[in-house]
Amino acid sequence: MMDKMIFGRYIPGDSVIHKLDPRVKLLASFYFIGIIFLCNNWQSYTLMFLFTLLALSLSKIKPSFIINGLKPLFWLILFTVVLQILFTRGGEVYFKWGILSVTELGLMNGIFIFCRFVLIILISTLLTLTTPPLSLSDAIEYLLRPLEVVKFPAHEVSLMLSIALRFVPTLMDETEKIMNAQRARGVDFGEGNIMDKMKSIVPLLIPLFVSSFNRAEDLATAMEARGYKGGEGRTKYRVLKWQSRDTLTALVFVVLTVILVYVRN
Amino acid sequence: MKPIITLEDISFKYQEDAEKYALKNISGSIYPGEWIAIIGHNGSGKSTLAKMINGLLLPQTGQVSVNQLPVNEENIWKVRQSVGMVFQNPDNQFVGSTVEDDVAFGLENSGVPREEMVIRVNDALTKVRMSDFKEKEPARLSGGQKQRVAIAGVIAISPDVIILDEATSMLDPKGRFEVIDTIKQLKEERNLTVISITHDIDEAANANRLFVMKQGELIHVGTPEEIFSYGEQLVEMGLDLPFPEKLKIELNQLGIETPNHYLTEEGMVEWLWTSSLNK
Amino acid sequence: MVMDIQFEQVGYTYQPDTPFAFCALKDINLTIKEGSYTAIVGHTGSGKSTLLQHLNALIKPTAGVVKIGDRLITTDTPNKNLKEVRKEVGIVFQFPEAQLFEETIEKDVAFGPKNFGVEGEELKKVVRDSLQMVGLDDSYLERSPFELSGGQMRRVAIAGVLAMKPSVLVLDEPTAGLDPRGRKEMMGMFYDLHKEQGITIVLVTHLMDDVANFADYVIVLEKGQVIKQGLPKQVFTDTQWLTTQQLGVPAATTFAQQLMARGFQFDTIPLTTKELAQEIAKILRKSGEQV
Repeated sequence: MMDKMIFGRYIPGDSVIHKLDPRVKLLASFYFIGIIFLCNNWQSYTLMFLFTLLALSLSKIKPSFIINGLKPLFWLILFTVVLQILFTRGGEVYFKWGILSVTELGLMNGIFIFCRFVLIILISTLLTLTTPPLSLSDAIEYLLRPLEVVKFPAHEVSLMLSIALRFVPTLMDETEKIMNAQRARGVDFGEGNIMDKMKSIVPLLIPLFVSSFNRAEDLATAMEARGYKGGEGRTKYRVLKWQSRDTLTALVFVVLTVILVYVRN
Repeated sequence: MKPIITLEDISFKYQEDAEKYALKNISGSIYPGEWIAIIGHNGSGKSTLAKMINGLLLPQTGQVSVNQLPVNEENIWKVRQSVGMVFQNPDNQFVGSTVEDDVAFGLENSGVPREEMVIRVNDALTKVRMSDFKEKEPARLSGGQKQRVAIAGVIAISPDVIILDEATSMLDPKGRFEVIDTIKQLKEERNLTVISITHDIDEAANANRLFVMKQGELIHVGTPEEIFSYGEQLVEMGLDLPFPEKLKIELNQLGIETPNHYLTEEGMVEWLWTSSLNK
Repeated sequence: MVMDIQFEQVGYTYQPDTPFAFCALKDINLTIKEGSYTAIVGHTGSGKSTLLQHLNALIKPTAGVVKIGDRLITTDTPNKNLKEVRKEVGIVFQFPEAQLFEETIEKDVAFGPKNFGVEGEELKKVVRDSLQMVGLDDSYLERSPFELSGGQMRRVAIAGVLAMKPSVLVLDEPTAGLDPRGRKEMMGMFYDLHKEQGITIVLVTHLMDDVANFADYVIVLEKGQVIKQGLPKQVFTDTQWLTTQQLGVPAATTFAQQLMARGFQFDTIPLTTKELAQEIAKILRKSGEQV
């Protein structure tokens, strides 16, 4: 049974966000992450949060689901925030213990870092929740294409990416099957000390490697039989279409940037 | 009629210095519109022979020709345009991320313009009755459906020959039926030449002629009736016994004599009926 | 201890409370009796493989109770101490050759029993015995499992399960992908184990001929529910129903029906070729006497 991972999964839908061109979504997400670093006061962060919430609501994805996406990263966020608070100095000192101190600046930085994290995670979760992996790989190929001039193998990279994506569910299934088979033979995955855990991985990894090699060989034969001879002279079945809503999105981002520059210190 | 495939005395070893031949002195002709079943035990050279026909392997001696074109490095891409192949494992030949992408793969490879590609993909999917699944990912399909997509991918390039390399062996009975049924229809509509490598007696029974392989050699060629009349030896050829043959064996054990020649199921029913009256 | 396996109102839902929630089993009630040869049939996606994983607590029901011997498994059963259940109920998964991983066949077959604490001479013996049961002699011990043919690899994998000395052996389409001879040999092997060692067998299969030839109890699953269960005779008598369910009918039964359409009359409808031959012999002899 696949469908185990929730973080980073695509949820089919027909919202405006779903329908956007993947190139727009990909570039916009990177751009958004970039301009988060322009934020330096609470007004600018509020703006970014409002924008993100708007985008999330447009996607029509259940909020509980998005929160689930955040959960696995909770400890990482907490750790970074605490470090930030304890080691940044400046402004009024609220608490001091050895080299550790909680200061006004530290607290501020901590809060900002927290906001940044949450924003970045929310926006990238939104990207993966609303864009099929395949469209993402199409977008990546399109964006890499100019690099072909400098002999960058854009076609091969994108084919590799799309085959890898296509085999993710297959290999997850396989992993589960082999785990079950080994559990039925008395292996406890994830039990015992580190040594035990490492040991229990071997009966899982070796069969997975063996089967992946077999699959790769079969796939190569099948591709050859179907006339695959590299990127040259090849046509593409998938095409990406730029639509007015994509232009609109681009404009929205220009406006967002302008406001952001205006409200920051 | 000119044969579509000719095998002239081909021999092949996987390693030059190996003692064992994977194929040894194989000759034969296959004619347009024929359905050939290649049978034999695992390791008898069936799949190797199939790979010779579309140039996935080239013989060390002898000559394979498809449409009078010798299969060699030079013609290989042309040959692959006219010989399509469906493999055993439904998962391991699915290249595209969705059904339509996978069907388009072969067309993309030969540089078919997009407009034409869309028409041919739709057409091929309709033919294998998978149009409703066009945008589905392979993980959402059954084995039989995946194999039908693989068939659509082959017929999209409109080949003359389709090779089924144990294409039904990993399927459940329903999937097997779907696949064979699809092939039967396509064969009628397009006068396809079908070469199926199989252990399945029902699949073999669809063929016009059977090629029996053993240790790299072609030991028998004949109609299903001729080959099925080998009776218990069929098991040695990698096939199961047809049901009437199994019944004959049981009846013989109970001391009832049965005809020596091969009987179809209908024939067997007829024979039993008349003998129940005549005794 | 009696090793019956009992399902009481068992249900299983994958990923509950997410948009991907999927109910795979619903209100399953059944008993697999010690010493029986039970067949589970149903289409791909009918819930067979989910049910199968309940048989040795690889997954726990999300509703109801599974009784394995004297152990009760419910949603709340902790994951610890399930080993003894797994030792009692061995599962041979579909294409089990995929689970091989050791350098030598001996080590691979020993893997299961070693996990359950078998050691030394006893371990060596159990490995040899298990390999013998699947028809491989001592010359295989030191060889790598990866240099064998597909059919032999499968035998090694099966030996690896047998080596745990389970009292119940679950087989998930054990002959898939084998040629007819390999299929016949393998089914014969399991039947011998059942007869000679009294191992309870649970066979998941699509092949109605195997059900007719070997099973003494049949459970039919469809869309996560048991839609029929009983003796093969009971389940196979209603051929019409089997055909509408697209489950297939044993070859002998199909052939018997052709004979009946032609005018033959049978006392009971035959399920196996042997039974059919006996019935036919009866009729032929009778008509012989009448003349």
